[in-house]
Amino acid sequence: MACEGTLIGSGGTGGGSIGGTGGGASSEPGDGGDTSSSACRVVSLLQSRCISCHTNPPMNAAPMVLDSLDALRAPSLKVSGETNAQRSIVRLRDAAAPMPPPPERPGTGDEAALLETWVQAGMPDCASPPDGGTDGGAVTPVLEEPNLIPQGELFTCTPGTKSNAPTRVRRLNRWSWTRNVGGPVTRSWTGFSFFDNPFDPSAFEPYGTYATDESVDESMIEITLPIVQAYGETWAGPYTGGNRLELLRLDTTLRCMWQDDAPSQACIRNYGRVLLERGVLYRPPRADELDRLVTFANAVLAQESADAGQDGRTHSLVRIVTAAMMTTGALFREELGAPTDAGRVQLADWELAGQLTYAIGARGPGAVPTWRFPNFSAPIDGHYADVAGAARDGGIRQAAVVDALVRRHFGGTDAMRLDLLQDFGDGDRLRRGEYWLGDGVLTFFREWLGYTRVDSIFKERPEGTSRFDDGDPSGYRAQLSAWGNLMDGYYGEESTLIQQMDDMVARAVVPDTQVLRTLLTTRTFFLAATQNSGFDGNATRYTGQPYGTDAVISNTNAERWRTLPMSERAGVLTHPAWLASHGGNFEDDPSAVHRGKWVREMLLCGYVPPLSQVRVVAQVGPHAADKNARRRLEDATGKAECQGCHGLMNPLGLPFETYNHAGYLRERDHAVDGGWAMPDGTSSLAGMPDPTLNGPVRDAVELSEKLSVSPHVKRCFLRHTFRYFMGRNENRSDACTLAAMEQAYDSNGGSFKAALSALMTSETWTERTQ
Amino acid sequence: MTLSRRALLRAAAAGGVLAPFYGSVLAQGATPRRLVIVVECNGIYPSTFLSAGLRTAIGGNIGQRRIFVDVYPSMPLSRAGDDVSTAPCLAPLANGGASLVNRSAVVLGLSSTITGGGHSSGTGALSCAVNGSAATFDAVMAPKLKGAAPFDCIRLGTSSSLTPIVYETCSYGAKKPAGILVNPALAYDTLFGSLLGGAGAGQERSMLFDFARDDVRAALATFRGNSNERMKLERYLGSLEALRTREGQLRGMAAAVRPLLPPAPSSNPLLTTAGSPPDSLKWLEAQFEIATSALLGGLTNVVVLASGSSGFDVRYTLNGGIGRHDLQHGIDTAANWVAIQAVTTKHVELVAKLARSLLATPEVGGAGGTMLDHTAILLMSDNGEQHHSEARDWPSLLVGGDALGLKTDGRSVAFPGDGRANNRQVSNLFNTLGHALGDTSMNTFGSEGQARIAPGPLSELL
Repeated sequence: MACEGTLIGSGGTGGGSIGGTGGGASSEPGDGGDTSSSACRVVSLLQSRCISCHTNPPMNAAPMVLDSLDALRAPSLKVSGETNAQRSIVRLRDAAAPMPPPPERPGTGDEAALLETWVQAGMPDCASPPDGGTDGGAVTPVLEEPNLIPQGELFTCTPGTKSNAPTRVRRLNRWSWTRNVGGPVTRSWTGFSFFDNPFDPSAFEPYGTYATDESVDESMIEITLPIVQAYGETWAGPYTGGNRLELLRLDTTLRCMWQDDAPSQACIRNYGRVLLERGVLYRPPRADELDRLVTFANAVLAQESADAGQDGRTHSLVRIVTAAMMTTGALFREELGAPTDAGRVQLADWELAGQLTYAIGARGPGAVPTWRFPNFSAPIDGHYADVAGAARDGGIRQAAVVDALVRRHFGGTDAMRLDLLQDFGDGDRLRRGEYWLGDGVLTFFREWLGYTRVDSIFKERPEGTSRFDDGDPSGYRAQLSAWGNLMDGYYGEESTLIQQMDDMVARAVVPDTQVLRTLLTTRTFFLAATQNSGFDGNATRYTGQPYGTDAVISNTNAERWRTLPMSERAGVLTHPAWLASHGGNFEDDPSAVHRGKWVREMLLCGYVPPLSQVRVVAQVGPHAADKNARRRLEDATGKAECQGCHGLMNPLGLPFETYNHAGYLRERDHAVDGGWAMPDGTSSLAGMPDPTLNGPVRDAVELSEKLSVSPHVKRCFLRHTFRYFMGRNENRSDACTLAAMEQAYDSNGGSFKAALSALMTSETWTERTQ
Repeated sequence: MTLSRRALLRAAAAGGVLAPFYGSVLAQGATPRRLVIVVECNGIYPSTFLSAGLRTAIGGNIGQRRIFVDVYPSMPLSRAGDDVSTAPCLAPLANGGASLVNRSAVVLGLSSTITGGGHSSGTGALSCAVNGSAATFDAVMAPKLKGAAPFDCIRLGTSSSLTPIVYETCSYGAKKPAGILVNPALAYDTLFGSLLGGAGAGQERSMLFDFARDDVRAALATFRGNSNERMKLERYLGSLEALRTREGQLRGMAAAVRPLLPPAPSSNPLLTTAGSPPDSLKWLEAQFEIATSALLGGLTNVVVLASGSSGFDVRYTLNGGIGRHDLQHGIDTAANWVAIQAVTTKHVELVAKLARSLLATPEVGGAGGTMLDHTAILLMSDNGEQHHSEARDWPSLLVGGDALGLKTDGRSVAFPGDGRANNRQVSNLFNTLGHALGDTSMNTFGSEGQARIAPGPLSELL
């Protein structure tokens, strides 16, 4: 009996998730006892004996989900240090409390032995063939939890191993769609903007580049239509829309579309070709795509009344552009390629170009630049025109060309910060740090570090327990005004807290030397000027407080870049934006859980069971003068049944207790007698995946320094790099590419560009399975 | 918005556009069933729904306390015919038109600790599960109640989030959030665009959808990817086909529904005077207008109106423009508490206005009674009993649904508090509504695991 047939349904419909890595081999149970076979038999065991209750969500009072091999590999919620698989073996053999419970037949010795064999074999996957297929076969991508894969296996390259990722189509996300049409990714309450499009990735996607299951539903279409129509206006002439496209003024071959009463077929076809290539598909249209649009355009123009005038023509062109923007090519970018003799799929030149520009720059190749007085957002031949050129001449297949393109568009320095032209005017841009990163590169660091959530997490008394907490309860106190302005930048033209971290990250990354170590240890932070800020008042005067300073900072970048004390800050994990994004609402909230979880998952690539698997009420007790955050957390999670998960998070989060929920350095903390004591960031780490991390830790500064030199952490960083830029989880078949990334990173002095270049010139990048 | 629906139908028939509309009503069978869920952010304080009679009956030390889960009786206490309008925030049930006092029921003491409480329990409130882990009640019921209505569910709301659509409150299932339109102008265009555009606009939309549909079909005809990727395009094609079908359906209903529509956003004072950031209550009222029109016009049978539940620092002008969050944190200041109650009262007022519109509209299709008789309206919070809630008490107001069997006869019901043997849960309330709305097998709604106390509906309400 094949695993696939047993567990993923039959008849080619797919839909199951039991198999762990998906797909399913034809391994037969009992066919020799290889580990893959035992895994498949364990899957069968789950299906036949467990899943009726341990489904997702669990039923009949079952406390956890046991619907996949990943679920078995997960830490037990009941017994710290054990996996669900180990607990399952115990329960299968437990005569006093049998599992399955009555009236089901209790577990047998053979079943327990099977599970034990699988555990002893290292809990392997049910052998999986390539995920892809060209014939519409039964392929359902099953999301393996990548952090359950032993990290060493992901960096052990077996020569000849090919990445098993299938071909795919990826719906554009909200950010990229906006960039393509030339819009800012900022907005206000008033009016609509292109950024109002509804293409946010689903909440379960780890990164915004993932498009695992993304399509376009009815409400998305309805919401998109008025936005697309606004885009259509920009293509109806050089001065018709709110977002001026210089191409339409300079390309005289297009004018016939809005100047001629009856545009010729050649005119319509030329317009359609330019529109599709430069403003819709970001690749040359295929003949059938252009034919359909020309036919549609003719039908639209035929409906124009004779006296419609210029407004009528504008309306017609808006309809044509709208239709073009609703095509599959406009909404989904392809990685479908063409079959090779080796049974693989080689991505096409334009697919490679799009993959590169979306990854580095979050937009398509050749996108038309927009005009913002007195500048253009890109040279007149388009954003990433050089990448488009490489697609045209085939250079996109040459490693040297790709390497050069990556390095050119990765980031750099620019005092004018023209990379922000579409979002901000001169007043704001000139107050930013001079280091910039490509849109896609910066978004990686934003999403990996998760620091842009700061403005959506409320902070009760953000300065609480810091030296700036003077007890003033006023809602108009200077501290609160400054915090508020760091969130929304309402007053003046200085940067927000998120932008300050953007600039700090860019400065750490752009020099491209020991990038991860620099990120985790740099003391160079970018602060806002507190005088001549465009509005001088409390809201701008005290914006340094979250960093521990209320010094006057003048309006120069030499002043804005500050070196913070070695005892107080070290790197991005001590930046107030990161701390507040991973902090609670109150200074005595269990922020340590959020911060520790992040470190566990995003720096150590460890697994923490999701809350959806928890069926207990998890709340800290009430606020109390004699309980600080650490004590409240210990009270709530000290029980053995809590430590299965919290033992993975709390020790890694407690070092951050020298900071409050908003990232201010604490000056004092609640003492057990109800008074005040010194802040305590001590923790003791044990059982770390990198043994050098074990032992006592003084605070987050020391923790960051230890993490920064851990090879395990570096590999985890590269895994997340892979995830974001590939738009999918890594798996064992990617080991050669991950190893190449690591080798490139190490041998080039910790070069992130080199690691990216290694990825973007790899077979993983250029090929897919059929 | 109290136009007689029967009169409307007569007029529509005279215009020759009746068939699709009338058909949609008939398709619901003898017992039309509708569901409206209104969700308020930042908690609903139990004291605001506590009637004078129930306060006396409970006894104990309530005094000026806003939360008093410890004083509820050990067995459910049900007071039929209670004058619920004597509760601090329920006066709108008696005032402002036909009395709804004896078409309502108040429920106190239900818990839902599985949701975790806090600022917001996200999708937990409507799913009785850990946030993000299960389908919400609206999504479960929508396909069952859709009938021939063009939309299975309409989700509208307000938010402090700077996005047009939010995803934190409703869900089709684990990790499958359902969007809520939180910009009334966008919602108006989205829902009514086809009705308003006239024949020309309708033709243009149909042409557009036909073009896009042909394009997807062509892409699928030559598609080389695997089945999962193919499914993405097929789902897009399905959406286009559904819109194309709906376009025709809406066009058939347009003449009948158009008179019911609220003012266009550009001329609706609720929107033109809302300010920036907008007054959430004005925007919410505009969303209620849209929802009312949609229900009266037969565009849907399920509505969710979420007031700030996905982005809860909404702002109201009634308190001088302070955001709800700051308002809550100064709750011990008398003016803030007054303002918070005024917000809840406004929500009740909007519910009452919607209910009265349904009450004034006779049901059609042989069911008799009014639309309100066949519509269950539920007002609840998205996190429980307060701003930083413990999810131990979820004060709820039910209005309408008499013909569905709901005991909305003016009663107040107080259940034993959380931790007591006879405490009941929000999931039981949804079981009750599920039964009333036709699913008599819905006894275990929610994903509470061991935290579930008892299955089935609440006999005090059904």
